[in-house]
Amino acid sequence: MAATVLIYEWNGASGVQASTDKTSGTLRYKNADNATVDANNPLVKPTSGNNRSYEKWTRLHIGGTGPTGSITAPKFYTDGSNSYGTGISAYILTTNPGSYATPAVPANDASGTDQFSYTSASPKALDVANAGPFSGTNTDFGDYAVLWMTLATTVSAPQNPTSSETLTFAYDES
Amino acid sequence: MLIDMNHYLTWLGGFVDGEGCFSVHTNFRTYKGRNSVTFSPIANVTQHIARKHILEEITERLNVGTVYTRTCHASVFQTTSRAETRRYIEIILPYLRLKTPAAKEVLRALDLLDRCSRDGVAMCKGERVIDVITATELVEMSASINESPITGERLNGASRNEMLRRLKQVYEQEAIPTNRIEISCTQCGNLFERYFSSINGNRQFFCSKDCTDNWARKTYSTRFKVDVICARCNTTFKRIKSDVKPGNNFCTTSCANRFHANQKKILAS
Repeated sequence: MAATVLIYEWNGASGVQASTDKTSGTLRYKNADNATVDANNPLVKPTSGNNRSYEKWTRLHIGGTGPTGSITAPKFYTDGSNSYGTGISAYILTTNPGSYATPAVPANDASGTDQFSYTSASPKALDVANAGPFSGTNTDFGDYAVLWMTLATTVSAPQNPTSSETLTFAYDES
Repeated sequence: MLIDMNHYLTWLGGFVDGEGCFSVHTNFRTYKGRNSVTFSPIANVTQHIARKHILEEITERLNVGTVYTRTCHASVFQTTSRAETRRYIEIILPYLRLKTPAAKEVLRALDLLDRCSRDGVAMCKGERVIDVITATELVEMSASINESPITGERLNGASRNEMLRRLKQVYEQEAIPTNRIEISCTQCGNLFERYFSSINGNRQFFCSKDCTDNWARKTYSTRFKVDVICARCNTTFKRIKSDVKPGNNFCTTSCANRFHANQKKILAS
């Protein structure tokens, strides 16, 4: 039987962070650290420079049914096309699972990479720091994928919310 | 994920209703100057080669028939013996609707052949093993299965009257005019006979299915195929240019299934 794999969003201060299952759900970039999908705390069009959302810390999780063998090669990718519109970018960085930090607004985009540079043919590996194979039940696995959105002055406003983009987390199971 | 057998057969019934074919092939031959006729009740399903895996699943699930490639773009599931045809029909019959009459006719043809012949051969090397009444009945069946239920028009093959005329020739041992010429196989160079009327406009001639397939494989692999990378395992494989999808391409059905099964998606806005 195939394993139950979920996508968790992590929020809250380091040490007391809490997770929310976002599988097949929506992840809302906002100006606050919570997993709620609403129109509160929207990102505001900058008058100069860039405005950024709070980071969205996400990680894959094995639910109540584990793999028969193991799970390997977790990865992240998009369809390769940014449809958010002019002036809106989205970034990703991956980090060691031991280095969870309270989600904050990134000072710049230098540490991240454009999410849309990762496609199914060229995905972002999520097992660089936390290498597989992974097994067991009710356990997180792979690296954190930290996501955020950046608005430039060229963005057209209002957009509340922006159009949606599909983010894919994939893995191999044996 | 594999669906259970009952659900699969329910689906397969609809699929065969739309795409399948039940028929009694009637072949008239001349062997060493003697005329003969053979009857082959068969069931088949033809699909584009991109959907060959669906046909292979029928073979795997039901353990009957074989799947072969007819040209570079068509693959065919077909039963290969009377026993297989019977087994296939007996499995699928409860799930059919539109093709029920045709399937039942083929079953009836199988019963007739089982009673009075060896391997479906009505006249083997001129030796009569089926009486003319049974043979006529089989020809009638072959014709009726291939007629449109609405217009009565013959859908393919020779007409009922033409087949009955040739059957009469077989039983009266009249010579069937051949009008054949000897030509050489494009692939292997062997000489073989072909009806003169069938060579009009054709540039390639093949003595066997193997030769046709080998020639097509060689020609299409060099002329029309391009290298494609499997979206799951990154293997480079060849695919006919027109079959390359703009999105993801997969080297095997297994890769495609695993690629799609092990994905979790979220929307971000």
